[in-house]
Amino acid sequence: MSELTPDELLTLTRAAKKNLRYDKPLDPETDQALLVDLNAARGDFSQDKLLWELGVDEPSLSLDDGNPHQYILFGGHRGCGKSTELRRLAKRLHRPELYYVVLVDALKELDINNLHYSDILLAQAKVLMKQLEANDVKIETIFSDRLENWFKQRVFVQLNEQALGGKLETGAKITTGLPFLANLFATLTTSISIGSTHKEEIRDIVRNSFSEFASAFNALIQHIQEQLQQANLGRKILFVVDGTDRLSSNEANDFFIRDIHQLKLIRSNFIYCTPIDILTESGRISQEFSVFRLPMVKIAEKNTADYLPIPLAQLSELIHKRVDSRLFADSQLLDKLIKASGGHVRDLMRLLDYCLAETQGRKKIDTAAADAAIKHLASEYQRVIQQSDYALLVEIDQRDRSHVPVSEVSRRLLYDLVLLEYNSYWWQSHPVVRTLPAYQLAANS
Amino acid sequence: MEWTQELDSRHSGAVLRLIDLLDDGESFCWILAEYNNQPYRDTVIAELAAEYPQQAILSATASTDLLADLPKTAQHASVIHLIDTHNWFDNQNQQSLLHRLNQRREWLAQTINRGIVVWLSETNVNNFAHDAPDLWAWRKAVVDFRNHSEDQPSHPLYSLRIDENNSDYADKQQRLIDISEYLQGKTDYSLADGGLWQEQARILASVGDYEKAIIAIKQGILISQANHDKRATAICYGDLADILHQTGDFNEALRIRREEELPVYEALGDKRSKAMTMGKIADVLYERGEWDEALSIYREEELPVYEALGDKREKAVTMGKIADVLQARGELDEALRIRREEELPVYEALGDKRSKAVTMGKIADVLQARGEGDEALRIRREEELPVYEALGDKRDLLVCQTNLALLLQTIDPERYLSESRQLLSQALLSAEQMNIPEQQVIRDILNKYNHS
Repeated sequence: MSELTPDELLTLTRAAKKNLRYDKPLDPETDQALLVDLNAARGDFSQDKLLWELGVDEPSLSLDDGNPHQYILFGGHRGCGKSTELRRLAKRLHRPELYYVVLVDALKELDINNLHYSDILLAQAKVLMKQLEANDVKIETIFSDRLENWFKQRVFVQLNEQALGGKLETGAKITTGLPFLANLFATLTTSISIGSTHKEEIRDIVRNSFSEFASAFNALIQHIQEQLQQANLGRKILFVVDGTDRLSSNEANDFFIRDIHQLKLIRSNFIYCTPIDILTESGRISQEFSVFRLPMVKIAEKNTADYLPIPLAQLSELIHKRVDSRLFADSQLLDKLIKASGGHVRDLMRLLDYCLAETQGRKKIDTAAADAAIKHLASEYQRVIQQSDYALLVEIDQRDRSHVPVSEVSRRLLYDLVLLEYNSYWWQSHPVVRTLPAYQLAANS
Repeated sequence: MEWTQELDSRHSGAVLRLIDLLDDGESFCWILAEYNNQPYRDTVIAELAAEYPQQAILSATASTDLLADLPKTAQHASVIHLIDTHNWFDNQNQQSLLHRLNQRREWLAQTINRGIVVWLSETNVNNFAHDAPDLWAWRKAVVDFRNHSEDQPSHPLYSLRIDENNSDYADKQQRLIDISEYLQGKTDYSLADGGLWQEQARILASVGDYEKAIIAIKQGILISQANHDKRATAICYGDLADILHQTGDFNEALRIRREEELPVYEALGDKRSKAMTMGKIADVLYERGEWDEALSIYREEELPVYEALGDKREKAVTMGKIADVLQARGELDEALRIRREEELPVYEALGDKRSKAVTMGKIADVLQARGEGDEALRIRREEELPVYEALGDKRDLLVCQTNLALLLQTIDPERYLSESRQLLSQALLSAEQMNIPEQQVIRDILNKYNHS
């Protein structure tokens, strides 16, 4: 490891800090330098299986037109790379021979803390309309009239026109068709996302006239699909909805289970990002959706001390792409941090970020900084663990891979990342959790 | 015979005719009695007990050997009321029983020197004529004990809604013109165009133009087939069955459900759509008075699917249909329990105000039937009407206004005459603006009140 001047240290640390933002998924276009394909290290996940489900034959670059509408859940731990993977997938599929992909970022469009199916559907409509406008896709008004009519009959009769903003009214007067609908859905989505006083009223309107809305939207989607084919922009529409994995456990249940019929009344293709705990729900989820899990990067098999070289190498590559290797006092520290992350990408970046905070650009990342970072992360997890959880965590860790006791408690622990799920479906507590005194006590008793 | 309040005065002639035909009941005669309301049928039978204290009621469903039970019952009864005969027309075994009765009419006449009153629904009178022509030929009469629609305050305007369109007639006409202009001259129809034919059919059916609606939906079917979209084809067939159901062509509606819709959903592995189609088959059977069969489908073929899928909404909808059947059979307490405990909480939890209001309306129906008019009135005024007004749902609103007017007339015709007329006038105006088939029923009721 070469010596660095104080200025160099500070510059490299600041650059690394910028690269460790984990609140934003990587864009396959602009963040190419930071991207590392981790799928080989994830085990049984492969985009190809998902593509097959979507009727895509990649070698021939063709889409099976007869493939039925797909409703796919794409789940995994928060921070394991779902959003990045979804964007990669969207880029791969968005092409004339395959899909016209509409990427809806629920975090950007809506208030994720209180999300209903109606909100998502309005946001999907909004993003679709905006994208069609941007692509200059023409639609016949005969197919958009029904949605306009739904709006005029259901929304305008119940809500004061001014309440929805003068912009909408002006727009409604001067346009019809796509510009009108784009304006309409943007206004409705904004009213919901900013938590306006009319949020609940709008939801009520959608809920109580949903079959009418769905029927009109479906007719429009069918026409749009035909126009997209003619314009050589895609064979079918695919909505990729990111951010729905942030739903709280109860809200995710309402969204993916209670209101599933409403979601499925819209006839198109969908991939919804999903929190991991919802995937452990009994058979209902798998009856209604095709389920794909994005596993953690598996750095070791359960209950073995032998770490797997390929995942370690790939995660090392990920670190090197973000943090200059000269900032590490010892290259062994990389392995230490990777092992402490349990293969959870965002936690790995968090640990690196905590290390940088320890050094403050004044020294290299050394063992003391790494230990402090690990302790810091462990203390964060400690806050979400109840005393009674430790016994269960120890029990799961000490038993073999087949021991995956699904319960309210284990679902909560999975949701909170205290318990990590690996491919081939086995669980283990997060490595930093295992460093906690309470865990040690439970393990020794 | 002493006349009681419970019998409709318009059936006085039918009762007198029946007594005249039965005479003292001591000689064989075969009379068909047509009805459409089971509690009312039971009331008529109970009233006849004053004339025939020795009369007996024999359930064709409960009897394991009807040919043996009939002569046995005849030994002590003066008149035999043969009820629950709907199974004769449902399955093969029972049909063969009707066939045997038909073949053995002479044996019947010789063995049973009693008057037999066979209670049949309207559809089954027709079926009887076809399935047992010899026995039919020996009927002494068909006596009509049907309640007419305006006499049934529970669902005077109930109709199958296949169109959610809330538009006025003028707007619907404009939409039909726009669609026709767009489709005119087109030769190569896409699936989206097929959707326009389907929309046309739904609008036409909503204004009662069934003939044109059928032509339009058949075009939709052809386009879906040409585009090899099996699901779209099945959905169009479902619409055709809905329209035929509305026109009363139950047999063809049933055939389409069973032969055109169901196999597609089975092949697609779509359990929910299959269950829904089974439910619609049961709806037809319910309309035909085949209540046991309808109940059995709701309970055994539909509910378990929704339970397995965790679909609380559809489960609640099906429970509501079960309550409809129980209500029609006079099992009001159980119907009420289902509405309150198994339907309402689900719609409340889902925030579905419209379904909640519709269910409240049905609770009001039951209360009305039990004579609890004041509570029924409160519900109609406070929990139903304002919801439809707030939702802007014109069709539900006009139905509710009509039901409210009918309820007011059962509570105090004189006191509420003016209010009832006002409600009916509002309902009629909306129905005329929408040009929906219900307008004639409302007009008839209003005319009746205007002349009272």
